Amino acid sequence: MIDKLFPKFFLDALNKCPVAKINEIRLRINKKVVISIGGKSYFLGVTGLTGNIEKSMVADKNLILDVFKNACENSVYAFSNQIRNGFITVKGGIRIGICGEAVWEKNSLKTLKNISSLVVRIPREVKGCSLTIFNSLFLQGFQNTLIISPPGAGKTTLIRDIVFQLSDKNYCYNVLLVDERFEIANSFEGVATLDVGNFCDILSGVSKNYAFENGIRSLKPDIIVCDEISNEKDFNSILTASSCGVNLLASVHAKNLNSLKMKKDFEEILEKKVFSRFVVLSSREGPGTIEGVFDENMRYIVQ
Amino acid sequence: MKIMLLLITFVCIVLIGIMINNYYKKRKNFFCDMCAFFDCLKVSISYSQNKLNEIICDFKKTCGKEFFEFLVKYEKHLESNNEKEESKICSDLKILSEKEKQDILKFFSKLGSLGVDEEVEKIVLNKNLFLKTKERCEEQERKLSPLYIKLFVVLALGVLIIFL
Repeated sequence: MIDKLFPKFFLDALNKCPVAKINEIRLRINKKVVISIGGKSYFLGVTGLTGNIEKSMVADKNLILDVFKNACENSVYAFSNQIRNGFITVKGGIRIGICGEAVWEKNSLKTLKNISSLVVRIPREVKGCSLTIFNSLFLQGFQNTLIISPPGAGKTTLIRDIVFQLSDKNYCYNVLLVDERFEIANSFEGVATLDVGNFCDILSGVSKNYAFENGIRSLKPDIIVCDEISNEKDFNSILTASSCGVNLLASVHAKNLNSLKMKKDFEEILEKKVFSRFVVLSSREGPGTIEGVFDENMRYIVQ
Repeated sequence: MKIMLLLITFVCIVLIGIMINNYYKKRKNFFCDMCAFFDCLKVSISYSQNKLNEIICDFKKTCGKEFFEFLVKYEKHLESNNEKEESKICSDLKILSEKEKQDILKFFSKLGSLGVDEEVEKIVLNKNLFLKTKERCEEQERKLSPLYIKLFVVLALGVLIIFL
């Protein structure tokens, strides 16, 4: 998909870089193009990666518009909801964060115009990345698990692999995957393009609120999986699901357990001990560094 | 030899009539398909929000040759994303006037660049515009097509009679 996203001159430069290792491409209007590999940032020059700012490429307005147009596949209307939420997800799970000027209508955000920055995040399927912690997530069955991680530390990759391993190791749990931003399974025309195993029902592009309420009723899942719980509605959905006897696997943006405890509206979830496993991730030794697995009392299980 | 030449002349004159007849038919078919495409766009965008290439791909299965060829070129243009080549989408459509080409280009070059409501609004607006052209083409086809055929057959017969 990355081939269809960028114009030829940009691809030529990109192909001189280790494309398979690129995590992020940042385009800011009239600023240097920045490529992120393994948590480190480089400039993009005509000859590939460079540390020399003078030789690096500048992202002009046309480049940004071209990438945006290609990402929307000339069908902006089909991405209106995503654009309102500040991102577009394209085939292959590539998520493009969008920055621009907000257009408001009747107190609600209508769209973004004059796009000024794009952050192209390329997901990586890292099969087996959850194996070091996988067994610790079980105690007489799968335990409600929360993955805690700052942005870009590999929580989606870890979630995807846990879901895959559940299937690969024949646990036969019916998993309802709530893929709000099309990042975990990246369903394209209804088919998952990233491997999430054989026991997964995927609800793509829907809010957690809707998915939890309707999914529990109609799909009878054993485990509900979702990414990035962030607001009161999400927390309420989590509480509802846990009271229905469905297991949970979710992720949240936080640096560590302490910053998680400081999150507004999260106290109730912690007080009620909804989650009995906390996996803390960081980018300390590159994205996906596992800092530890903790139990419901926040004690180390795996260090 | 003379009869052979006269027969060839007869066939040629009748063929000109058929060509003019086809011209009107093609125009009518093109604008009928275009209006049907507008309906298809409106439904697909407002209801299922299918992407433009999916809508085009589906519609190509049902439309006539002229509009099909136009859609193929439009699809290629979307893939290449080369704005300089934009005018070539309509360049081979000899059945259209320059004004019609410009109107079509104006609509299709911006297609897919708006949100759902705005896009549907634009489609309805343009459909009304092209609906008038379609009605005019249907009228022309109904009146002028058989007239030209008859006229050229009579002309051919006249030439035959005069030179025989």
